[in-house]
Amino acid sequence: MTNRIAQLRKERRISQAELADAVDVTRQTIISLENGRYNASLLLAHKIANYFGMTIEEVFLFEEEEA
Amino acid sequence: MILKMMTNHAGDYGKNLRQRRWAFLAILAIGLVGLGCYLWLVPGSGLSDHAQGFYLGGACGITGAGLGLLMRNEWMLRHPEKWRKARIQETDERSQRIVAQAAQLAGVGVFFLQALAAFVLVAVDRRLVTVLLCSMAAYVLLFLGGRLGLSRKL
Repeated sequence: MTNRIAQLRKERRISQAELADAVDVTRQTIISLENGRYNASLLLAHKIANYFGMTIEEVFLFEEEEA
Repeated sequence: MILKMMTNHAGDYGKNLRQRRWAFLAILAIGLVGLGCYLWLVPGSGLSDHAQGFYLGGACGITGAGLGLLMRNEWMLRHPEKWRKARIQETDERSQRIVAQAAQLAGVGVFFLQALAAFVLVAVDRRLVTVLLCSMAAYVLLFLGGRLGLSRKL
């Protein structure tokens, strides 16, 4: 699973700390999500997508072969 | 119940802190009882110096841990402005997953080390092997109990 968090964050000039604070996680979690080292839970994915005003599918890109 | 009290992060963080106070007081009480036993019961018991030292060390460690946790908790209760950051640190899902996986690895690692040690120690002292096997049996029972409880809950 990949995601567009870093891209969306940069487009909107939001820092990792601001995003982390808004979705109630640590900045380290945002860094790991952006690097693809960690996959968000459904709840966190929902919070992040909601923060950007988008759907989960628009932020998190699920690759079929992972299923 | 204690585990639920210590790990329940939903809802009011202040309420969680107040609930944790009782758990930390219980830890402190266990340590103080241990210290009391060391001061009043151990001197006339004929225990070896090594056993007495172990008793004192254990009691001091538990008392210190209980006191430290209680002081930190009380300090946190008096500083509500720090609650949000502390709650985020405690509930961060990546941190929780890291802790859970580390605990899983440690549990499995200790189990296999105990099995290895049991094979080596069987030639040295059967009492040590019995202790190791009891510890491994406790691990298996706790694992099965946990699995049963969680399978009903999740």
